[in-house]
Amino acid sequence: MQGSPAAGMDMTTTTQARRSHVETMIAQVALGDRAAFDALYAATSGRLYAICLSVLKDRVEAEEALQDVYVSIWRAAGRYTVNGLSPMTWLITVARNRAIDRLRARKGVAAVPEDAVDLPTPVPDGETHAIRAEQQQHLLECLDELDEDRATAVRGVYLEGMSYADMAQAQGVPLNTVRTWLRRSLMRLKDCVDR
Amino acid sequence: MSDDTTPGPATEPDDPAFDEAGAQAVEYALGLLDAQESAAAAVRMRAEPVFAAEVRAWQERLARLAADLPQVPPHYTVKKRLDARLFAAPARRGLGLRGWLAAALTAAAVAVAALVIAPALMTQQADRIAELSVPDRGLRITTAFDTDAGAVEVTLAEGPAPADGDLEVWWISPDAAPVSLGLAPHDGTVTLPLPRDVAAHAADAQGVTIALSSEPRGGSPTGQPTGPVLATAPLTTL
Repeated sequence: MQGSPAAGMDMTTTTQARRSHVETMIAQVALGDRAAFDALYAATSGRLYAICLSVLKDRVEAEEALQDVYVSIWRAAGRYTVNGLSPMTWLITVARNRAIDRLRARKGVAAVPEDAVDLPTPVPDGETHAIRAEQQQHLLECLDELDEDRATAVRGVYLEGMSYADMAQAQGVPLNTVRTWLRRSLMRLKDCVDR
Repeated sequence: MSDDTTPGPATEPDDPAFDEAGAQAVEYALGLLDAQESAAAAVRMRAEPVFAAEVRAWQERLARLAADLPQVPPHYTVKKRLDARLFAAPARRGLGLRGWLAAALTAAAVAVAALVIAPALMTQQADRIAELSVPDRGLRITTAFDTDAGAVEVTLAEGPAPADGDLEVWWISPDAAPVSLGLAPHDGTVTLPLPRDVAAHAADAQGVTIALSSEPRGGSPTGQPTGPVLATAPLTTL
């Protein structure tokens, strides 16, 4: 791999070191290790709280969501290894789902019934965390390749929990139109990231 | 963007293959499906490894967006409340001789205190209490300290919690800066572990005042009271 720029390799090495650190803490939390739980909270709560705030835009609700998140993590850490996600993605996804549950509850919309994050999912052969980390690196560049309003919509859905109905209302277009173009944007994004 | 030439669907021959299963995977990962569709997708998660892997792959790709947000450290009381919720009150140490004597003495006092304060307190364990009243708001907050366990139970006994802020409870030793004990609950009761330096002398400290201040949501941003002090009360020993 002579073509790999040195900076890229450094970043990958750092990312992997951090990942294995978080992974170690999760494994210890699974054994009921409270010191590891404290360390995991110290290392990750700033990031997970930022997600809760981004979705809920309310400090008290975000704090309550954050507590729910770490209660889930404490209880589900033992099942983490079978879900096929890299450790930070698992934590981020739990945080986002909890925050969106609260957002939907506030709006009186039924919560998503199943929390898929806990479902066991084997990682397919040949797909490693390293490959996924590389895809993450590409995501931002690929978002830039989308039209600006579409990239904004993707961010709004992920970071603010916007629904098709929210977007349709905001833009004054029929829900199915929003659905069609957002799906198309996401497929383009996937194509670009996997390239 | 100055580019007005956004192509319509008809001019996108290179549009990625648009398959329904792929769309369902990303919509599920993003929480865009309605309840019924979502339940169907959850069934596929269990039954179809390829579909599940696609959902995971989307969660993995999109997590980058969250990883890019500036981090925001939560108020330290959040971790305290979390610990109280997960681990309840810390385990009580065994009672020494002094403890036995104190227990014998306090048993009677506790029965009285329970009537005075509120029926639902953990007062069997509490050895020191303070009651904070704000009559013009119809607000009453009780604090019951279990100094042996190093915890305080804070109860919103009466009145509405503030709609746009939080109430913070403070421990004030004579000639010392207030120490935050945490935020009062918006309803019911919360058990908070005492800060280490308070716990060390909580059982014997003399002349302690417990205070309640009105703070922004999440509590004082400075670690000291910033809002009006609504009530103070002497810490009494049972």
